Amino acid sequence: MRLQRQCDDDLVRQAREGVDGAFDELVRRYQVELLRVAARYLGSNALAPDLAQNTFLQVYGALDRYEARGAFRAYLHRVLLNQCRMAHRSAQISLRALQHSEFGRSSDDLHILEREKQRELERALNGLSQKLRDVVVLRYCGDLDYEDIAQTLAVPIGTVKRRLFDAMEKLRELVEPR
Amino acid sequence: MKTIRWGKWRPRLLAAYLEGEVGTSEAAAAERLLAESSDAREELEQLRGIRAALSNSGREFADVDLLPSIKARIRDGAVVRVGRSEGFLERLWRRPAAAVFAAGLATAAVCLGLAFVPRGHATDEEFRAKSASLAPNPARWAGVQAYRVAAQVWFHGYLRAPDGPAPQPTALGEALGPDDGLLFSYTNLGSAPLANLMIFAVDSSGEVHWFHPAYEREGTDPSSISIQKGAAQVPLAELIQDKFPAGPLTIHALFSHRALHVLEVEGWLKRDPRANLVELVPGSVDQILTTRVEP
Repeated sequence: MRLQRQCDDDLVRQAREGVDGAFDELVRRYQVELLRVAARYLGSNALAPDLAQNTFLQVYGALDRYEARGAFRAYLHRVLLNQCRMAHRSAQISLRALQHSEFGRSSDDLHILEREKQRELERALNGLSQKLRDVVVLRYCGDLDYEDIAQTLAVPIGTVKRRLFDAMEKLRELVEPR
Repeated sequence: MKTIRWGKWRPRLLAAYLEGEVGTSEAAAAERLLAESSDAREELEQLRGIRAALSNSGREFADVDLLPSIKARIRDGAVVRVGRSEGFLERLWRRPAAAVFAAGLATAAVCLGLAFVPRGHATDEEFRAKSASLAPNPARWAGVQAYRVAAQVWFHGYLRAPDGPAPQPTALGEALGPDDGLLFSYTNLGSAPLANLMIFAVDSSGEVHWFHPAYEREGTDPSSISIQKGAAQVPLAELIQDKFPAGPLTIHALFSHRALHVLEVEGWLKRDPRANLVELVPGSVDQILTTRVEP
């Protein structure tokens, strides 16, 4: 069967056995959502590729220890969140400096407004507790469903929903025009 | 029937309603609320806007491919698969002091190293940076990020079009248009960061194009640019415009402790276009990026 049509656990098994392209397919399948989650979590596009790459490398390193339970995506995001939290806590890297240095931004007025909105949202996300930020970023940037989020965070689905609704309201308060 | 009271549950009700996560009675309560209260309608619109902004973020990653860099790092032995028979916890138990120390080092390295790990958009070649020094390995801490500015966005020499969307430089990938511009930023971290940088390219005919420093007049011999130590993603403001012939283009980012001169480097390359610059400049890092200039 073509690799693209195989489930995650089968791909992990084949990657473990050394089947060519199996791990590549997992990377292709999940790289964009990992990049989006990492970028939004940190408020910086510049660091996202590094974090996503480190996540895949860490997962690759632990392939033999992965237990196939149909939750590879949740497992992957759990590793990514750990990377994000470490980066978030790290005092060694000035994210603000990085944001100022990103080239993918222009001086166009429209973009300045858009950028300001994005920054406001970034500030608001930073104002959330880690628990609330985890849920909202996984849901909207990673596009994970409640079950995947629950597996990622090892909490009940009801808790995921409650945190999501609380996070949204908190965000609304934080970005509300003053 | 469960009755939803507004009070402190109102915000959660609206967020749940937006997500479609309400039962019949809650939906009815939310709709009543929205019909009666302009504040509630405004709140719902704000929530909708936030959700849209979050969902729409990160579209620029659609074309990013991390696979080449991941494969390169696996090939280079940057990661070793840990077998089930001896997991991390087992090793920790067996040699607690050493393992805790190693874990601390690894954590510190990850925290410090987030900004220098090679970009995901680059080709495999980008990660063949070499270093003459073994420890600390400066190649892990120094590197450049290259960006391409598509030619069609040029307008009277400015980086914007009169009516169209503002240009968005994108990570340099496998191809470069003949009139595209180039931008660079650099990262220079680690315990012994380097002091100087040269960025230049060798085109398909073997000609050397100088980006940083600029080399515009014969009879001059500019030297490396000084770079900030302990800094990540520092932009080099100058936009590079050059005419490259079609074919492969090899970009070198040569980090060094001492300032190098353009003529000295050109001399090495003239003698041997494949010269190992790291061997010629002890302690240096030569990061190599390859791309292809389209006809």
